Amino acid sequence: MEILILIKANLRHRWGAYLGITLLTTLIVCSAGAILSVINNSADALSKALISADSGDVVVFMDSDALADPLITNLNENSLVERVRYLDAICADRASVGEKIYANGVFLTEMRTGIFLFNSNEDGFIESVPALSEWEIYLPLGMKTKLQCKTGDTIQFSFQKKSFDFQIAGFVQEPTQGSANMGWKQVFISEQALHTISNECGKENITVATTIVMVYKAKNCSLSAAKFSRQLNLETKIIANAIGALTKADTIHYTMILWKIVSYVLLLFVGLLFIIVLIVMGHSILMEVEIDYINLGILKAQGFSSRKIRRILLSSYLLCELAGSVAGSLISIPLSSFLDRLIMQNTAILPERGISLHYFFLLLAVILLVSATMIGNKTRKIGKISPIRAISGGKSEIYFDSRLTLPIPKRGLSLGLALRWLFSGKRRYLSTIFIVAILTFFMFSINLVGDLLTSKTALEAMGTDISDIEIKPLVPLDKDTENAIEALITDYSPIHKKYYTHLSYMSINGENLSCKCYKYPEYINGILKGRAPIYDNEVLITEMIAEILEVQMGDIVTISKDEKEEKFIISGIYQCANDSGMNFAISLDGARKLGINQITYIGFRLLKPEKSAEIVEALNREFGKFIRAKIYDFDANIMNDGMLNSIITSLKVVIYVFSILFSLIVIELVCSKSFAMERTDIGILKAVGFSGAKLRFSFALRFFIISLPGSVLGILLSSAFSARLIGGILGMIGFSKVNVEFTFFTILIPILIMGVCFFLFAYMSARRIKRVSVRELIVE
Amino acid sequence: MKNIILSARGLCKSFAHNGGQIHILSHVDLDLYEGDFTVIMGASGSGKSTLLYALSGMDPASAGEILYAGKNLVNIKEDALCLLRHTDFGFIFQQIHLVSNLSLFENVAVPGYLNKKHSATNVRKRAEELLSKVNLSDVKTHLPFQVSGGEAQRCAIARAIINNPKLLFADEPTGALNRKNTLEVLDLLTRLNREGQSILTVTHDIRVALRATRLLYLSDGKIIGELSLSPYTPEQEKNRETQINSWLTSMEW
Repeated sequence: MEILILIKANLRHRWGAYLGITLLTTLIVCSAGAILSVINNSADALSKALISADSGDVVVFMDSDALADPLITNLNENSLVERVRYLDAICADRASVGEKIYANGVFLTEMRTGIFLFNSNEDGFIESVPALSEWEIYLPLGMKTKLQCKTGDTIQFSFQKKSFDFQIAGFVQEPTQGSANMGWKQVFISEQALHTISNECGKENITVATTIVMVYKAKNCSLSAAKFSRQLNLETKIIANAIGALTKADTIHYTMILWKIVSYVLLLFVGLLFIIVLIVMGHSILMEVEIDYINLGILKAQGFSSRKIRRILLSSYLLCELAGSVAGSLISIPLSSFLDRLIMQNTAILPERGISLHYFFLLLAVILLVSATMIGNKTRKIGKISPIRAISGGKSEIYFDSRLTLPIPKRGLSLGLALRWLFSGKRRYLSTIFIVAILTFFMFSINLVGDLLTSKTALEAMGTDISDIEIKPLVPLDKDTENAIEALITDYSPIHKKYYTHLSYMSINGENLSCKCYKYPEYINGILKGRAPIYDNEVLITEMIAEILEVQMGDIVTISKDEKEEKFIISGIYQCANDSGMNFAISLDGARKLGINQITYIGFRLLKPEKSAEIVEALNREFGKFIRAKIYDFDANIMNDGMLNSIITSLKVVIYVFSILFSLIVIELVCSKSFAMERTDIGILKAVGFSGAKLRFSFALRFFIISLPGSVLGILLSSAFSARLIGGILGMIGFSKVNVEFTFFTILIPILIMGVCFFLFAYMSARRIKRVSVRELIVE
Repeated sequence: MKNIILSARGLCKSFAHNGGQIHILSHVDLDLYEGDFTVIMGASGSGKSTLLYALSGMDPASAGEILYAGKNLVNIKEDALCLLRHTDFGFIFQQIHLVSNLSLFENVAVPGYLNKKHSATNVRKRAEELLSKVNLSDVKTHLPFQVSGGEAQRCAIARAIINNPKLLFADEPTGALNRKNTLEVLDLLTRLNREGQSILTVTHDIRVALRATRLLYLSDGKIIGELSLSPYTPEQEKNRETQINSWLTSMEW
């Protein structure tokens, strides 16, 4: 009973500090809970959708001509395979809605059961899917995001020289490739349209017929998706003969990848925020013991044991965290619902609703356990309080631990006083400096991520081929034409880099992966070890592939394409984000051995990129019969049609807003403690003629100064750990080694934000100075 | 004829208590003169300190007027009051109240820096002089907790006069000191008064009253008696004590 009374008194007496802890916990629980719930909801929904859609363990896209009877027999009779589904499709080169172009391959196939049609609000499905008329089409939600189209719009599909228009009848949940992160798409049309296009294209000898082969693993097969796919390919050569293939694990990986990255960044940030909460709590406890020294002595004199007093403090703080967790859980319900809608635009999967209670309980348990350990440790000091010394004022009234003898000048008196108070209470402000460092570190790191993913130079350094102009050959180009094209470009600008490439899926040691064939391999970016594959028997692989295939530089691998197979030696390791790092590169000479003779893409990086428009115009004018030139679309190619940019901006906003909110609460807590300790001195300074405004300014200035070493520490932390942290996160999309570049603005913005916030929030918090009356110094 | 430096008319001070009002000062009329060492005495709870704080503008009066240099301090704005505190008034607290993380020198110099009329060099020079005058030169870099109560109070006096105040207020300036330190502080105040410093102090200590040139007696929030004295000399201390004791007895002290 007495403990309850004291807990109540404690909460009442120090409500500001406890409210602060409660709010901080609320922020942490609501954000962490919402993120975990959303990821869980989406992952669950995706798994269920894959089952409903009866998606195969491996989905293979094949030219129908390549699907010969022996292969079908081989496949059907394979012991690893339970069953196989064959779906007729036609493959379009590209799709467009108005000005928006979708340049990846699109497989048009018949609508089938298990593919659900979204209702108009996209918050549920229509129970009975209306049958499509001949030129109507259902698109996966990911295409809506990419093409920014709506129901009723006209979408055009191009099959070389032929094109066909469809009216969008709605959007469906296609779980295999529907995500906006995935290139190839399945779209759904009527049986008549499928036949009409096949016939029309057939008349002009345009090959469009493809088959989507869904292979289902035998129940007794214990191989992982990747191993099953590799083994299947080794035994049947189905993937080596395919346009491409996708395992169920790939689908899950690519669908969730962007949000996994976002959630990892946010969870890491929330984890650091929790460390801040622990620092704030620790600071608050120490100050509380110091300020309440006499009261604690009195309690001890009344027979309260140290353990009991510690239990009171422990219960008070844990109660606040519990209250914060409950509030956080409640707030996370609408928050996760909002995030669900957001994530759906990318994953194209309708997430499950609600919050994941098991995650909340786990989160709560972690928070309470870690906090209890920290509080137990920090309250050990209570054991050292002697009741007699406390009651007799044995505790010195001096609240400062040291002073630095910096002179206090007349000019800059406020600054002088601010510095004196700061150096007088170094220990007290150390924790605040650490907090600023953590927040700056994270703001800084997210700025670096933004800079990395939006800077052409940085992306090139990390292995991305970036051009200023790009050319699609309409016919195979001979050497003279290539030279003439380059000569025309050189009239306007020197060429910095040139990429003559062909992108194809090939099988490397049985693993079907994206392979980029370079005519000029010396321009390959992002080589980490070894060198470019300049000879026709050399291959460059990513670290991810080296791990999966368990090979290293110097090893021999087998690369096969269709019926051809060659041995290659690994000449180096590089990084490249194509297919999230699941790719390799060979020279065009090497590709010729596998039947690939022509490049399909040319990119030029110019020394005078501002001339790009003129060059494109000249190229199309001069060589319009052979090529189609255009300005490189950085936004479409790299920024995923602005999505990456939006995500980075959203992440920045979330991290900055949370950092500012945390600063506000932390400053309020630290200021209130400082204020309680310095109240008498404030009164004295007022009595000798300092105005409230001057003292308030000096108080705010002190916190501004604190933010500076904190920011510097944050930058130092960043220089030591940001590259590793970012590498760890971006490694998921193939950038395992990042070179962070510290620009003036990357450094300045977090420092400025922290400084301004600290000054403003401390100034706001110092409003209490106004309320200090000189009368408080009077002893009647 | 002495010049009036500060005067109070109908000064009242009340506090809210348990839903009612407690009247501490009740229509006090008072004039303070230039060069006087005025001591207000009275029994505990008579309102001495309250009167002192009200007159110095440290604690606003509930009603009435306090006139100083043509201004009424009862309704003066905060900025003007701050200006008065570092230009015209000096204040010594019973509990000394030095800023704990400033050295003795800084405690004296910082209020001096507030005064725009004086240059930083002059302020530092004067602070050095004052600390020397109060015998604190040797400990000027010490922090308040590192010196004795007497030293701290002498420092507080030096701080109070750094800006050459026209009027020095002192609330029981020896209240927190032992005998030796009390005498040191009183000698210092007497010396300052002799040099022309106007002082108003409240006390219940007869040793302080001995140094006064004018004694006022406060009872139940009203001034009920006044005694004028010649400037203090140690030789006439005994006679002076008898005279004051007799006056205090008449005031029912």
